[in-house]
Amino acid sequence: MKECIIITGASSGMGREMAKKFSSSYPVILNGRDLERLEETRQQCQNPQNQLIWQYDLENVEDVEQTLATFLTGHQVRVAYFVHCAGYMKTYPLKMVSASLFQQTFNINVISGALIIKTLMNRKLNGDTLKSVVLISSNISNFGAKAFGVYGASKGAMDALMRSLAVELAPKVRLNSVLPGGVRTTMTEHMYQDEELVKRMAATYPLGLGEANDIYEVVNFLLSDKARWITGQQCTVDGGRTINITG
Amino acid sequence: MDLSGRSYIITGAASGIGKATAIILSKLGAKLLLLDINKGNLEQLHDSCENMVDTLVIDLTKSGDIKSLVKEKIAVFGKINGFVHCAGIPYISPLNAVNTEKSEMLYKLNTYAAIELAKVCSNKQVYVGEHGSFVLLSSVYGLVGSAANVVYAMSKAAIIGITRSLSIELAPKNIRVNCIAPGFVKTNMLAGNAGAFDDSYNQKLEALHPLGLGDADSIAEPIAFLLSDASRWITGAIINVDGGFTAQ
Repeated sequence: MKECIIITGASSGMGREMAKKFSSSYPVILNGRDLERLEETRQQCQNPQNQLIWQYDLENVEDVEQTLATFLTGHQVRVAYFVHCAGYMKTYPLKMVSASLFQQTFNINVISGALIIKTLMNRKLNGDTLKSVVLISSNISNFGAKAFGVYGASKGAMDALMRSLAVELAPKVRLNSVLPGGVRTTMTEHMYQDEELVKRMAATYPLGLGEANDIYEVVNFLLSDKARWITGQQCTVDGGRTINITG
Repeated sequence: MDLSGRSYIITGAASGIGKATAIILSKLGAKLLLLDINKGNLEQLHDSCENMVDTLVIDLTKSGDIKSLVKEKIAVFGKINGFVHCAGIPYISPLNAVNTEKSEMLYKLNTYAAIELAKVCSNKQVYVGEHGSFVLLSSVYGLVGSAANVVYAMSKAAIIGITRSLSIELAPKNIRVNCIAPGFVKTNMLAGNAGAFDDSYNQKLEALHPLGLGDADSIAEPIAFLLSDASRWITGAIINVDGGFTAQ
């Protein structure tokens, strides 16, 4: 049976870039909401015919386990690696925050990721194939910023989840998170439309702004055996942004 | 990962993590200048490296000599992209037995040598000018509390401050500065320490690491990653390579 990698959020942005890169090493299961855009991603992958599409909206956390189980059984595949790229970010000041915004953000960023890992740990479905997981967090996880309350809370929760699961699932499975700084993707495209903002942002990154490939390289390392003694860690990849107080 | 065309200094290269790092970097194509105080072991290692290697016997506790000795050697060896500071000694001692001279020695070797090395390795006559990367070795003991370890903890916690500060200062020179904080690794340093402990302590040690104890290669691989372009957007990072020690 083929050992696959699941990439959520693969219909655009960082997830799409990851899927394209990883498709040269593993069969990829592409998860996202939009079938058309997932198909676009698939066509951009190496050997498109080897890549599978799992169309599912992760906001619907009630059915994620059952749906994934059916998918794995139906396609006769097992999953060795999982990268949770799906991310929902709305930057609202407190007065605009609502319970439903919290729920939506946490469903996609945290809860769905946890339930996917749970499903992949099910021996009947996946044996003991799962080896390594990387959650795409954010450098906001350890810091504060205006209007980032909900998103920041979800990424902090994600990292707390990662640490506990790393301890619980050791030594069989390694879990780590990558905390990117501002990378230009579909999710953040609106911020890059503002030239002044881009200039201001770039000035605060000692190594300059990053690219999706910079994040892929780190994820690839953490999934690999080269990182065999790394688990339960937050790996910040932000060109020095969050330790820079001279800016 | 490919390090061909790159060259690096490795301190403490004659044994443990330094030695494992030398062998792995050499396999990846890097040219290496190996530093250690132990001449015999250094020469042995010279033979087990695949690529171009040179050695320099040096006492890194003589802080004032580091810059001139390294510069002199580099004039012959050629310019470098960076260094890895693996040299270090442990010091287990209850507070009331802590000795001033030994503490100063730990500070000079484990900690201050990193600053002198950074100084000389970012110098125009020594640094190639691109793809710069310095990797410093801290320890989980630089991050967590443990008894009878105050001086070692000081020497390794300081490495974290050095990493963050230098990463900002050296970014304009295209030099990234990062740190690895290892958990307990089976090296001679640990063997020397572990001799002092009984079985129940060793079992406790295992339990502290959800993935079990590490080996020198499990630290050397992440060091290679931090030197390589795969980590080109990482600077000022403290990466705990500890089998989950700090996750629980």
